[in-house]
Amino acid sequence: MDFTHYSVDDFVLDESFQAFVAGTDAAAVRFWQAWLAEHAGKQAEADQAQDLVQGLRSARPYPVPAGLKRQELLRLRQARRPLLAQFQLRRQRRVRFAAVALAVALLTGGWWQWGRPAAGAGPMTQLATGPGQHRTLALPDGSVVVLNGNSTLITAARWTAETPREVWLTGEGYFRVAHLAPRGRTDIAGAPANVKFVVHAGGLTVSVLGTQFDVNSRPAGTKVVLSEGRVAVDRPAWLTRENLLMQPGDLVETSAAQPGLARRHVQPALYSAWTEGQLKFRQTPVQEIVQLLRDAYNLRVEVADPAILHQKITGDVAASNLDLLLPALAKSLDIQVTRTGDVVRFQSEAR
Amino acid sequence: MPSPDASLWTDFLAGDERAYERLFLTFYDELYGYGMRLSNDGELVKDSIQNLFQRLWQRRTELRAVEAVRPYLFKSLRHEVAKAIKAQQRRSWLQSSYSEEFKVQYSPEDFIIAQQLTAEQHARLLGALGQLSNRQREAIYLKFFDGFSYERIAEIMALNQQSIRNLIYQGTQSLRRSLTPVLLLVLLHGGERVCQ
Repeated sequence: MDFTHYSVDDFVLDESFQAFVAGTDAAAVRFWQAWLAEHAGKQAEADQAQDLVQGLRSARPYPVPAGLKRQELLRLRQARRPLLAQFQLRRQRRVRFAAVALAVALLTGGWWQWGRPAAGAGPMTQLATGPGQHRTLALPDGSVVVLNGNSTLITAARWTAETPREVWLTGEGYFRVAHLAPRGRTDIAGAPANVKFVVHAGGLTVSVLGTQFDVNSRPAGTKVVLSEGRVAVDRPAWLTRENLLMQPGDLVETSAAQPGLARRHVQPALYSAWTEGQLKFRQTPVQEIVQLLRDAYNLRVEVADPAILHQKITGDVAASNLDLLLPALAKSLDIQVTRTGDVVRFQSEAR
Repeated sequence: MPSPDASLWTDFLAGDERAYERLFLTFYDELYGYGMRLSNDGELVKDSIQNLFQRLWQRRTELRAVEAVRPYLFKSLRHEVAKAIKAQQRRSWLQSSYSEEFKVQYSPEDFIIAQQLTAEQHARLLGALGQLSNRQREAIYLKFFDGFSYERIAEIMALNQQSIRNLIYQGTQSLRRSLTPVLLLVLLHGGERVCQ
């Protein structure tokens, strides 16, 4: 292209010339330097154009007040979370329920937050496992979570001493929570958010100070099994709030069919056995093993002969593989165990 | 535009909140500056940026990949600010006779001209900028300060490219009429002008 007829204005308006002045395009810089060296007669016009472009380029960025950006980011987060929650509620439930939900939310100051990370929380990070996969996660506060297959744990992405110890679980996880409260402190509810440790799972809020427990939250229901220490379980409902304090060996559950909190006593070691990969039966009544199959493996168990339930078993068996577990039970009990889909039948061996 | 923006945008569309917040932080200062030049009303500009980003999040599943994120955000903010100004004018019955057309408030003081100019020369240039129309100033600003191409400025200001070229041509010509004697002066005084 011929630039010898270019006026000052032509130079100013030429995007390639602008890039040369700004130095943003190496090819343009090389081209115009070479071109100007060859066309000394156009130097004066090019200089004028260059001055104008350079002058306009060096306009001062608009002064942004210090801290405004961060402050506005927080505002964005706060505005966004409730909107999101309201929006999802509206989609999930019919309109009249949404109206009730909104009113309740306003009255109770955000009870709906148990389902998802709360307003004002920082960026979240999500850790997940595929089918049959186990993952051991060390949290920044010193706590350890073992995730069972098909499970997801959501935590704050950045974790400081001030961050509430709070996680959201779907699927199953075994928690070994680091104890941060001063020695002798036992009041869980009254502990500061960065001292107590809270697991949100399937409509339950599980609060502890430092202990070991298993949480299993599947679509059918949510179960908490306490190995040691103390755990407070809350179930916020539409207008009420149910809570209880678990003792070691307690299993507390809620399900779609029976939403109220139900408590019974189990052998907690059986419920955390999946983390080790080994079920260790020590004079364990079949009754408890049947219970375990129902609770942890979500199987329907039918026992034809009640006498079987009172037998006791000792031995180790792989926890993760039902194809090994069920034959092992059959062999050691000398019974027949048949599985059809999710239904398992225990029958006395026909001799 | 550089690809980091594009990948942030893609992640944001996929629902990544961190990418969304990165977008907010990356472009906030520039958008705030642009908004202030459009309206000179801090509260209005802050609200407009909030609305822009809230709307982005709500509509992320409907949004497509954009060719370039930065001009898209500028364009969207311009739209938000125009809406907010109109709403303000509608609320104020005293101003009900104001034209519906959105007026850009680009002020000449936003331009600081090359350092070798004296205070007097600078004042002269500001005077020349003051003679320009708001649209001329906005187009010149988006072109030379923000470094957008004619194509992008046309998108942002919702005009065709030729109109943008005309605005910038008229603007820079009128600036040059004021600037030329200044430059002559500089040249006569022994070429203290710094070569770029």
